[in-house]
Amino acid sequence: MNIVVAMKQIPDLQQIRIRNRQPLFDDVPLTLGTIDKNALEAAVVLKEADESIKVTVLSAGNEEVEDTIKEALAAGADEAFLILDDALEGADSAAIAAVLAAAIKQMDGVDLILFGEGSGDNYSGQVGSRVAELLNLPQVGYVSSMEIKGGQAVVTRTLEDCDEVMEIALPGIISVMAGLNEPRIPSVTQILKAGKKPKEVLELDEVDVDIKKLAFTETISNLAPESNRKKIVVKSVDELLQGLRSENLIGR
Amino acid sequence: MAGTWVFVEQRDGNIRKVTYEMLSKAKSFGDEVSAVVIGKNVEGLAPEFAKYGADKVYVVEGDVFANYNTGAYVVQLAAMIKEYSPNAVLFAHTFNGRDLGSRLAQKLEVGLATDAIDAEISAGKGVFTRAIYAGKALSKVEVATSPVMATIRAGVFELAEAAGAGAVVKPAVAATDADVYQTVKDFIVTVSSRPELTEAEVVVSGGRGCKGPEGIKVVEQLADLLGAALGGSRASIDSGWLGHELQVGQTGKVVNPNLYVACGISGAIQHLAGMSSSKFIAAINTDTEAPIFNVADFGVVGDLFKVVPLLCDELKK
Repeated sequence: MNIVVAMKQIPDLQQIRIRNRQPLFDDVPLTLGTIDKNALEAAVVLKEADESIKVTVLSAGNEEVEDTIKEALAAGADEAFLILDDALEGADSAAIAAVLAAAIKQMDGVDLILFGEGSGDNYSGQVGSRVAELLNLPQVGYVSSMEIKGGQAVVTRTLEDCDEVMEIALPGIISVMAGLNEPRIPSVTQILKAGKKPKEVLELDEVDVDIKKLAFTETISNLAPESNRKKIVVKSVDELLQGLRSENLIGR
Repeated sequence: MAGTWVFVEQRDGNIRKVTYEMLSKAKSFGDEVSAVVIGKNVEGLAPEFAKYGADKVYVVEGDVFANYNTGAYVVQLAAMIKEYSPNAVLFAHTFNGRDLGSRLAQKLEVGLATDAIDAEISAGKGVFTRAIYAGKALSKVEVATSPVMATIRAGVFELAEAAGAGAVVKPAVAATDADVYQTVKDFIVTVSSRPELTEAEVVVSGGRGCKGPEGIKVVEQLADLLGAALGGSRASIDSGWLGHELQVGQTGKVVNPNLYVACGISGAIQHLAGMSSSKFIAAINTDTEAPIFNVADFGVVGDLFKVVPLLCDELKK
């Protein structure tokens, strides 16, 4: 069985600083999306139970992805398939989906494609569904547990007020939630070996997608919110209650 | 152009409040407003949408729609959008709403703004505000394709009752069993006497500072006295003190209550992303440096095991 895990390179969110309401990215390290790491972990767990499974990590982004992706190879992916072009940085969900779908078409016999339910940075949460539509594949989102057997995936989706157990036929696409598992931290040996694992690197024109035509949305501005929080540190429970009552937040 | 459509989020006839919030907001765009309800035996719900200003209610019924499933719902909506050409289509930013919106957007080859906390739609143009970098920045995004599509966070728009004609329109059923690729095996409904997190007016959450199930019990008491939903940060979910359905955060539930009370939560960025749009935030934490105090309106530096019971005693008076 061939499993593809789509992962996105993102800045380390903790380390983004704000100056004059502008997010600053200087010296902010790059990593892979947190929930994407859950998707990878799920694939690696399946592989550990069945040695015949091959796990390919798939990513589209700028040139730096080639280095960032080592994190995924260290954490258990067998190989990487990358589409690199600086024009892909910050590209629309629809553009990234088209590039990933085109890449998947170039791979042989893919049975399962895993996504995190949203990227850490933009958190738009659309790419998995868009790729499924482009490839005309069954798909299921917001999966908190999954079991693969006999060409089927049986998954639990955790919704607002219920868990829903669903089955889809494979090949198919599953996007997972963070609660699915605890991603492993690779050992030093695994990190050293990661650099030697196979990587297929394509340029954007090798997948035949015109991303300019897929700019369906346009970002007008990205600014830190102006905080109007009171930030009052109260000394006692009485003072807290007074504050809450004066805002009509609790009964008198 | 046939105005703004609001996709009704419902299960077994139970309508999520965010549906009415979207109708209320859509009314302010000054264009025709329609509710779109798809399901089994849902026509009876139509008058509910008229109360919030729906001029029309598109009703689609059939066995194939009995349970939400991406395939049939996408095919049905795509056919209707082609036939009636709405200017904009809004979905709730629920798990099913964003699942549906994303795949439909690709089928129609249009853009989609997800988890919008503000929306302006006029003259075929839609501009939405949404959080990025786990809430460190707000992004203003224009959806430049037609119809304008977005998913809307619950609790951000005020409810406004307004009498609408609510004229029922029954589009042709376009989806068939062949469009269904997901088989629903089971529903496990979360049974709770408390309000559901994403719709609650008040949310009380417990984090690492709870130290265990005993601490959660302390926090639960406060939740019940306030008639609040109970939630938790990742620490209390991963430790097994609370069920995973109660996780508040970027991954988990994004909540937007009038009052959010964070007990023993330090405020990791992923947690802040799930609650920082709450109207008022109160935080109780032993660590004066905890990031949660940066987003709090009222902060109490103290041990929740002492502060919360005192608070409960006062509330009981």
